[in-house]
Amino acid sequence: MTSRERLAVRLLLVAGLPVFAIAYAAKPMLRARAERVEQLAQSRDLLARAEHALTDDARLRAELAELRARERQSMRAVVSTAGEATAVSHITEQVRALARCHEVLVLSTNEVGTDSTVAGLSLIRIGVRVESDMRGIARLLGAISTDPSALRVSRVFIERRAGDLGAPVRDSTARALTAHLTIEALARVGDASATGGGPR
Amino acid sequence: MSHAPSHALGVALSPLRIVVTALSRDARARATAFEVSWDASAADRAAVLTEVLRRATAGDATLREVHVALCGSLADVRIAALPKLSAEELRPAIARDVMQYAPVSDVASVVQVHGDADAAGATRLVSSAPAGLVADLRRAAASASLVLRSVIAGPLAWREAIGESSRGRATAGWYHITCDGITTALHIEDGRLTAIRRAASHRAALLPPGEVLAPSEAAAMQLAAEHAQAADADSLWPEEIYAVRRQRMWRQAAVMAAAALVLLAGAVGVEWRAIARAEATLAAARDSLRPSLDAVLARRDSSATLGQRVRAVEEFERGAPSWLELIASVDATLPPDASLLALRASSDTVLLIGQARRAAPILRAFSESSAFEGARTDAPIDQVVENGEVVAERFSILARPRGRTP
Repeated sequence: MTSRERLAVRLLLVAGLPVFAIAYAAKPMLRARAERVEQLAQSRDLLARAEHALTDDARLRAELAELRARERQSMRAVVSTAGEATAVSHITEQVRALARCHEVLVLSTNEVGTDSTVAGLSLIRIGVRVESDMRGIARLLGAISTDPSALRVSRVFIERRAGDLGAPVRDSTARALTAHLTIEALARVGDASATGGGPR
Repeated sequence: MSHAPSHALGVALSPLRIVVTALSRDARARATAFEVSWDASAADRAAVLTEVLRRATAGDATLREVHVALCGSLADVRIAALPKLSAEELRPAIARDVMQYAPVSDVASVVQVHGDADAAGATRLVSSAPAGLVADLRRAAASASLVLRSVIAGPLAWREAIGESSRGRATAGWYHITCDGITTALHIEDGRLTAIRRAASHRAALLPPGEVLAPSEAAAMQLAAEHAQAADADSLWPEEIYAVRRQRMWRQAAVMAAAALVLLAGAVGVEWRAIARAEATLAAARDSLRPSLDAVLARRDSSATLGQRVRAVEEFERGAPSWLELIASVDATLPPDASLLALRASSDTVLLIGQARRAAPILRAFSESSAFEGARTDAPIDQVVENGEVVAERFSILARPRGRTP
């Protein structure tokens, strides 16, 4: 090997060894160290949060007790049944009963649909077609809105009864109006403890 | 320059003469200088030198080192224009191309580049000597149980002598010294050798006039022997010495690098262990908290679920539209002569279909009502014609109960 070749090999070693050392030893080591330090910091953070949660347990217990009381109160208004069909049937019966109380004739009812909401509650929609005068329809709307059950009317369509085109809607003297109401109710479906449905 | 203690020998070597002296603070007083004429061939040179050194050290066990000044034609000193490189970089280049820098040399040379000459660094003082002679000197010194501490060119020894003799005086000027039939003129300025001229001794008049440093060749040799001690940087070393030095330097560097690596590995290990210990401590703390934490987390989940349920029911109840209020607002806004044929309402819009003598006041009434906003006709107004006369207008108005966003 000539002196020039020896020099080239030396230069290559001098330049290459640090590069290899950095690329295959220093960098992986630093990366591993950084990862472990980060994991350590995360573990510390988790521990601090756990300790905080434990010290906050008394407040959590009090909050939970208060929430249970409020939940019991709220759930009284909610229909609680084992199945969706039972819930629809129960709500329909409830609306029919209100209509009877206010002398409103229920022509038909149908199920519009069901949406799942949060925390195991379902929003059940039924359509109700009733016939009455304006006063009767207003009484029914008022009764639904003040009913202790979680019921509400989301859509109202009032029109003259077919074949009674001459009478205006505002005319409260004759039973000449047909109202299509979309009624929504909150239900707790799938409650194993529920037997016959209805607000608890 | 301070002289060495008496355990060192100073030797001045010229082709025809060897002068040996003991180096000490009172060297001149205690000098045991003697002259040896020699005309040995190169083959016998080491043997002659060994014999001379043995004779010089006879009876003095304190002598351990020897410093040599090569005078006359045995060494060459020149001032040369050189690239701006370090002495270490220049030396091998000059040794390789010695014929370019010292044309009188035709044998392998040992070269030294000194810091002398031009302060600006454009020119450097270069000394050289035959490599074989320097090797013979080393062998001879070893044979005489001495260590060869330095080998310098004669002019550098004389420069030291001039510096010592002119201490405290202005030193700029030419100095003549004759050795080996050659008169050398040295220009010294502030202790530095800045110019060298040579001429055969019978033509010394051609050289720049200057002070004669030694009256005879023997005195010149004596002077060189007395000032032969030099710093390592001025010494002419054979390549093997440089190789040994380089090897030693590399070994030291390797040892230091290995030590650094060991320390680094140790530091990494300590830190790794500290991290592992901290992780173990944290894991133990977490494990001790886990049973009670599970119960807390279960309570937190229950709390979140109950909160969501309660909020859902409250929002449901809050979101119920007040239909009685809406119907009352419609009734109050419609003029007395208007009759409503249909009403379609959702939580944010109400569509009114009806008829009146004139439809425009109805739309205006809803636009100006405080209970509604955004009132507009949903379909063209139809006119009801009886017997060719307009008796009523049918309207379809879309409005938004105020305060309810679509």
